[in-house]
Amino acid sequence: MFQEFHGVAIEAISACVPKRKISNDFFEELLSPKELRVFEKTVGIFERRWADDSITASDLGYAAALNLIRQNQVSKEEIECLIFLSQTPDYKIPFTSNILQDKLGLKKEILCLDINAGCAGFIQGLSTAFSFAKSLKKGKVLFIVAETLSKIISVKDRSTAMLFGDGAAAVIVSAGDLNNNTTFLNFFSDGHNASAIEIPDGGYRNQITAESLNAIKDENGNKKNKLNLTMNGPKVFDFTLREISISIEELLKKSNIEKNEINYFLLHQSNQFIIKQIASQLKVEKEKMLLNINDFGNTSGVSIPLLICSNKTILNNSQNILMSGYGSGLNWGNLITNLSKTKIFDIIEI
Amino acid sequence: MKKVDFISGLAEELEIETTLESATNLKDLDEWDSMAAMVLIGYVSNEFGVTLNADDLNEITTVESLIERIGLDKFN
Repeated sequence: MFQEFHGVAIEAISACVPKRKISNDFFEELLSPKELRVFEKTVGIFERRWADDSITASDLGYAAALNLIRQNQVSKEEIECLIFLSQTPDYKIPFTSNILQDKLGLKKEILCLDINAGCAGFIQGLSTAFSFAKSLKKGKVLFIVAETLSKIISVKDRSTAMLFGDGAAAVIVSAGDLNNNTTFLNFFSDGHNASAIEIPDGGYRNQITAESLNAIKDENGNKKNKLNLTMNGPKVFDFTLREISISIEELLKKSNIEKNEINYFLLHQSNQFIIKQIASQLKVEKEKMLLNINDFGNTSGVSIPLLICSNKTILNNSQNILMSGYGSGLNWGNLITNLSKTKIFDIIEI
Repeated sequence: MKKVDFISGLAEELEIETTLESATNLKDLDEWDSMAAMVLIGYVSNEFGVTLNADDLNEITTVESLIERIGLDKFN
């Protein structure tokens, strides 16, 4: 799907991460010193943030959203729609956006909506937020993306344990004020490979049984149960190197924007090696590919907004920014927009 | 590229402590794991513009089989 929006923009963005830093030393039982060195050199993760048991994804999202309200970026009365996007919600029932409506003190005359989406989630969520904002006569959309993947991984599984981190971001989207902005998006799905990234049990296809909690050792010695996240690394790796650069080229073509007109590329921070490979496939200078995976790891749909908040000054001084999200589903999407008038706040911690 | 240069570059990239030869089975190396596979993909892509996929990695055994997959015409 290809979308084009005129006169809709990201007004403000704020991000929040847990205070607790987990360095690679934490995983010394999983990797030898040499393996760790190769991991740091290729994947590029040195540290990630993990929430304590008492902090949920919605708590991180709440803090990010409250920051926007306190900084006078939006008044509570103006928010007509609240979108919460996560794979780690507070409950199965009810959906989390309704809980946040009350906690943030938002009015009752509001549309609350949850989206279950993964690493392409920020792009999917922005598509939804832009669509709602465009339909409003007045008012704004609050879009929160939040994840605590640390709570669904097995710390004894090398294929996932070291990769993921926690975080959240809140975004205000509105139509009108920042009027001459044009945003282009495109989306793709490959449900045939849905099982490449999954939690096998706990839904209603495979309901939880006592067996779901049994830790199973795989052929590589990784231990995880059926409520933990599993990832077919080689399949996901192949997919990103096969599909992403082509989809970015397609968006550029449909948007009539030359590659050299893009000031910066904000790719989902899944793996530094993959980002560099996509840069070389696109023949784009590596300096144009922003990175902060070193400090936060892969935070799923939160990684792009965290990257925005890590690069406030240069993004406020740029015209065309391209974002690309890809991951579970399998699903991928890209977006070109202008963030020069967006109020970007420093990352906060709770 | 000369095969000998490719093999020594590969040994350096994979930080292999033993001697790497045409007949060495990559999968038998202590250093072989998913991250080594990633390093291999990056090295081959940077040097030859060839992107190896998961099927290629399953099929490749020896260094010689890797060279054949990249394409013998790329070596002299």
